Amino acid sequence: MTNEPDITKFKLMPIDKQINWIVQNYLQDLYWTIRPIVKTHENTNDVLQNVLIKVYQYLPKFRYDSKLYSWLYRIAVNESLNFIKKTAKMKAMDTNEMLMQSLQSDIYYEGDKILMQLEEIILSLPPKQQEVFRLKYFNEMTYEEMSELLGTSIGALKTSYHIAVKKIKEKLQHY
Amino acid sequence: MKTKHHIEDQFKKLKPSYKVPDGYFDNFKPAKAKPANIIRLKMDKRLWIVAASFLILVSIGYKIMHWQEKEQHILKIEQFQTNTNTQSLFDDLTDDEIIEYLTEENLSEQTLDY
Repeated sequence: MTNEPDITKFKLMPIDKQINWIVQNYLQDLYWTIRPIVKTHENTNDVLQNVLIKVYQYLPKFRYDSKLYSWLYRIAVNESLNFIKKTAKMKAMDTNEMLMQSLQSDIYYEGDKILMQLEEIILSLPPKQQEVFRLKYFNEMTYEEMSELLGTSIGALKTSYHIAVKKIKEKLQHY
Repeated sequence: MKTKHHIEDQFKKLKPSYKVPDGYFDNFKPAKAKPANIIRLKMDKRLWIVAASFLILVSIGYKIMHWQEKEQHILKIEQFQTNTNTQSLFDDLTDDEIIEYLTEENLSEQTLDY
């Protein structure tokens, strides 16, 4: 997982420099947090920009009670979820249906048929299991890192991941 | 029928094929660099405050107007009831009945200004 800044020095930086520091150090992590949720590159870019606007707006009020990356991660996840809800509503479509359609039309996606099926199955999982699965499988995080990031016990995370994998395997068998 | 091991092997290979345009991360410019976005956010916030204040004022004004109207209406009803009570009481009576009523109630014509 990413390194945290020296908070004492970071707090003293002007906002523009703080944002630059975040972009230099966390851009890819934020991108790969958003991309598996919103699926397409174009949407990821839009959400990423929204996240940075939010960070610009709220960073001066951030109390550093939690780690900076945990705070950024929550903003990225919330912005992504809001984005897909809003887009689905605008297109008068079901969220999962809209995401699968976007993925199929994304020129920056090269998944084959079976990968598409996996995406569809992941979308059918409950949100918490989706999140744990994404972090473990796509972002290759350890349970310790996930526990720190989500504030959930390692045992609970292992259980969620185990159930998610079991469900995915079962569903893949029927495809 | 696929075997359990076959599915597990296949599953391990199912890494997503998300691609990113060349140089995307190197050339990324955050939206915060555009002051228009921040101004827009601040403006949005201000507009919401103005709109909310306006709505609160309109609702208070409406409540006051409504309360005044209600008060006037109650007064009118009271006046109307007072008038109609006296009038209806005597309108339907003959002169003899009026005198009888006044006697029973121990009232004089002057008391009622009749």
